[in-house]
Amino acid sequence: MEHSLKITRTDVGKEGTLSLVGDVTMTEVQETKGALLEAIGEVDRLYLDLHQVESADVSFIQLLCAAHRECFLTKKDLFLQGKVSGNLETLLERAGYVKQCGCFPAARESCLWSVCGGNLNFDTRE
Amino acid sequence: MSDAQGLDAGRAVFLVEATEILEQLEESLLELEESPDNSELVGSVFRALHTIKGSGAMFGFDRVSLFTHEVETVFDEVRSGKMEVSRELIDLTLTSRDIIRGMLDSDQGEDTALDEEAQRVVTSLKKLSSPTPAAKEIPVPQEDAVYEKADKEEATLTTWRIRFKPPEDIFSTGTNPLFLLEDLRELGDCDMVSMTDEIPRLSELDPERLYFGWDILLTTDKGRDAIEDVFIFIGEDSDLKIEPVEHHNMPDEEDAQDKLLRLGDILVMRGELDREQLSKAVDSQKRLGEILVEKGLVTADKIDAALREQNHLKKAKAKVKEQSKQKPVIDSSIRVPSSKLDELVNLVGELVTVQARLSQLANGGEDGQLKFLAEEVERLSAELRDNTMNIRMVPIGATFTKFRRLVRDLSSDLGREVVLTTVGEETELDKTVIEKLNDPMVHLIRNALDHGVEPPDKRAASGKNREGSIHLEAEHSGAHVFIRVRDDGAGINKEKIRKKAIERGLMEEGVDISDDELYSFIFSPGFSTAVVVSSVSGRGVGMDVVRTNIDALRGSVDVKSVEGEGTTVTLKIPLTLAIIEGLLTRVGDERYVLPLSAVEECVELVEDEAGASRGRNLAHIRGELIPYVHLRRHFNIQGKRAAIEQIVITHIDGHRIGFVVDEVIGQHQTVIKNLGHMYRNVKEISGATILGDGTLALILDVPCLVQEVQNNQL
Repeated sequence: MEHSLKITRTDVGKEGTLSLVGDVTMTEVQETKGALLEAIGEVDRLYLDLHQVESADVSFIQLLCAAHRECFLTKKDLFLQGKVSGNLETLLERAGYVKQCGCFPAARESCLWSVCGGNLNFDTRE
Repeated sequence: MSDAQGLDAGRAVFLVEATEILEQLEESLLELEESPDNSELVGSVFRALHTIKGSGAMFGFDRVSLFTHEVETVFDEVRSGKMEVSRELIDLTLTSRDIIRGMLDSDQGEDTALDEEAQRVVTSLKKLSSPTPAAKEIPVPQEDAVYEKADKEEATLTTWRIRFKPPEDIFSTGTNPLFLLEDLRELGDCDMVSMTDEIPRLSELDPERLYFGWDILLTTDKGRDAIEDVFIFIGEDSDLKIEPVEHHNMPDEEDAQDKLLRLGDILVMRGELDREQLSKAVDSQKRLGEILVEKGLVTADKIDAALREQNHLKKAKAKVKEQSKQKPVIDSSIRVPSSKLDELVNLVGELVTVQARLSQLANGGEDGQLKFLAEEVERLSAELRDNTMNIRMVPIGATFTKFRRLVRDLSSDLGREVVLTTVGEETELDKTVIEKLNDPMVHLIRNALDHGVEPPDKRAASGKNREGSIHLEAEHSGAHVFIRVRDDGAGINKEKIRKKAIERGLMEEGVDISDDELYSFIFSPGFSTAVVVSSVSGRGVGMDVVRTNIDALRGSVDVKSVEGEGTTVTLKIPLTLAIIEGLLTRVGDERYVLPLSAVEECVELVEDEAGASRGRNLAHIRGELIPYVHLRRHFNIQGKRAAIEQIVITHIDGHRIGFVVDEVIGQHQTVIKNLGHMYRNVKEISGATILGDGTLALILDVPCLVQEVQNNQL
């Protein structure tokens, strides 16, 4: 079955940009994992261009979280390049992924989904 | 008020409320029998039982509470779809309702027979419920108080904390967990945080497995069952925990509404850290979330979830507060003992009398200010009177509903198939009148079932539907309400009545009497044509009670029957027993009041043509011949007739009849006073009223008067 995902990678020195265009669902998850692993292995800083992602599901978000952890443990950087697509943004919201304070304890500052830049900026004394 | 007094007052209120709840319970059960799939009715039955159980325990009715708990347990199974509504279940629950009633009536006194009956019902209910009770035991709650309330009080707006971790292989089953989250969102306001701690690094990730779950906050009034239903197809491998966090619309928790929990408290409540860890962390001047994450005590995910919870609760509280502000005040009501209303009616009666005297005094003098004040007092007292009377008016529907149970049980006992239909439930009557109507109505319905509606086979043999019908109808007509009990049964056997009447010496053999007179014998004490005395009727006691009670209400009973087709008994009942609007008239020195509702017009009696029809006088009123009763003659009042007499035209049972008086004085608010025991046999006078000058006026019972005149002239 032909699927609609197109993955391209552009490297400049030790920095790479991985662009995902089309659907990123369970069907494409193995292929996407391979591309991510390969990129993380070959560059020190990886940018993800997700603004053309069309259909996505929770398996994809999980994949991105795992990629973030891989980067953190291998001392690499992972960033989102620009805005994610509208569909992906909706998915993140519906799946409870728009975080306030980051995820992985030690890697909260670099969490892809943190809305407060990893700074635990909240008042506990109200 | 001391604690003991407070408890006694609470018990009294509970007893009154329980009576209403039991009535609703009976109504819901009877409706449920007809619509066994109606989940709203199941919920209504469950809530009624739950309220009686809870409030009963609160006010020391332990026996009631324990017994109701057993019945409630069975209905909980019905509610959760584990058990179906059956005729047997309805029977047992109706019996349970009667037992609860009995327990409440006997209070905490010993009643072995009732306890034995309760035990028998509980045993039968347990047999009815599913045979493997162990399989559906509800898990023991962790936070009893909150859990219990949230689990049972379906309509309570509650914030729930739901922790959901789907099975890792959920993708392979084709289930998209997001759909479940969407279903949850449909139940109410929902906030969720993904708990991603367990997601491994990419190189170790099996992308076809799901490693994370959600912490969800849901504020809904749908109850635990509705939430559990969302996850029903997920299976046992998922990790699901549903716990209530806060109820938002329980009046006794009003104080808590404004109190927001701090992040630390929420984390302790969620079980993420203990109090000691919290107090150590709080000692530091840094922000709590930061410290806890830095120290590795709590993950950022969990801080995030706790923060969401804090915000979610804040939003929910604000929303509830806003809604309570917008809620219309019309819902509020207070419970007042009917004795206080009776007292109020009496006082209003006194006031109306005094006001009449004031008006008379004012109108007799030249003092303009006094006249103005008297008019104001008249207007206000009329309004006060109407409002007071209105407070006591209640629709007859509740009484009709009670009879559904009676018909259901009796037709079952007597082997009849009967449908009860009702019309005019909204018709309002004075509360006192309705209370006094109960017994006569019960007797009429029992009689219709036992002597009227035939057994199904007999009906079929005579070409009728196997299913008989009893129809109850109420309608307003002026100052009266007509209540009809109609059956399509065998009708009254006139010959049997005649025979029995002759046997009892009530009439002589060979004398021809009208149907009305013949039927009136059935209201004689001890009169019964039934050969067999059943538990239902046949002792000749019931119909006697009917007439006695209806007479006491100043009402009348009319029977119409066609053999083979059925019987209709019509009760004519005055709307109220206290105050009527009357037309005050004078004949000689006597004053008479006619109920204004019966009066159509007043005209001068220009000429007395004395045309006779069955001995009555007739007057020409705009071309129409109207019979009249000459009150001076009828009551034998001495003195000279007025030069120009007045004729008051009334409308009685579809006929126009005039009453000739010397003078029509005018409209009069009539506070009815009983004539007393000595005059109880005077049929033409229904009572008396005190006039403004302190003298008495007699209130005419117009239908009786007409009947009396007719009888005398026959």
